[in-house]
Amino acid sequence: MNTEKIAQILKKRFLDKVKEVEVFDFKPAFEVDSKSILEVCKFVKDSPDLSFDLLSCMAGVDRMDGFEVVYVLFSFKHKHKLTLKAPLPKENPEIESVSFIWAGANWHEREIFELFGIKFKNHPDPRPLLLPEDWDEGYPMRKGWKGADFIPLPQE
Amino acid sequence: MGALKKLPVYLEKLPGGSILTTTLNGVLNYSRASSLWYLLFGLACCAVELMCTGASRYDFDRFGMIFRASPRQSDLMIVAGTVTKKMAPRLKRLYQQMAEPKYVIAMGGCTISGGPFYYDSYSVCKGIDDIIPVDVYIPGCPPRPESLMEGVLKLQEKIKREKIKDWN
Repeated sequence: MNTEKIAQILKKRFLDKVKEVEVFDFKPAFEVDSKSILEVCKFVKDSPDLSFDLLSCMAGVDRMDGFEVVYVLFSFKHKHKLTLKAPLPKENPEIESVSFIWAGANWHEREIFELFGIKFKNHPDPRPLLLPEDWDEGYPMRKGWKGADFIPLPQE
Repeated sequence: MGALKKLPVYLEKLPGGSILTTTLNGVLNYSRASSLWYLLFGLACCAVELMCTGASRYDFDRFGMIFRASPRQSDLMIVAGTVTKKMAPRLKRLYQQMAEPKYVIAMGGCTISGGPFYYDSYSVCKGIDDIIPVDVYIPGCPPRPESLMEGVLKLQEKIKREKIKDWN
């Protein structure tokens, strides 16, 4: 299915909850209201026309004025792609976990939580994943993060 | 007789034979330096150079060096690769498990100072000498097998300078 058709279906179904945005690759891309992310994800997976059965990548982004969770989806059936972006507030970023829809999201969400401090509600196993067991220096991938022996790159 | 010149011995010829005299110090140091069994501690790309040095082309075996998978059987730890903060306690533990006398070679930029991960990194140790004592530092990213062998020869020189009276 081509990108326009995916965009059409999503716009028709979710009206103003989604907004098309420009991306470099993995088109089309939509900005989704973070409160309705679970609804949108369930729809794009279960709808037979879209059937996005693979969460090929998931990322957290620090946009300085807020956070963003990016979902990159792929469909084995139709061989098409979709990017979903959920903007989050700077204070207490929180979003619904999608690991019930794509099991692969489980570890991605654990990693995003410990590196960015974005909380995933209803996550089945919200333990830290990669950082040392005794880590207590906060969320290292946030912009402006300072650790005990962190040395920033000198600016010329 | 060529081999004898390399040994710390004095050969006294007598009618019907000869007497070999040496010092205990010399013999111990010579055997220690010539059979450095090293702990495999490959953590990143330096490990590939370490493996290459151990393989037939560069052949560590001619220094009497064989890799060991257990710290209990090792005299030397070649730390090859990036040591992360999560790996640091394991590194320390393996070092403590090694039997005396034990030596450490820090191979590559990462183990010396953090190397390419010195700036803007939250996870990499800024040099393993914060964690364990290091005998020889080998710079490079990664060092070539020739550099590693040079480092091993330097370590052998260091071992051969040891004195029994300094043991504790």
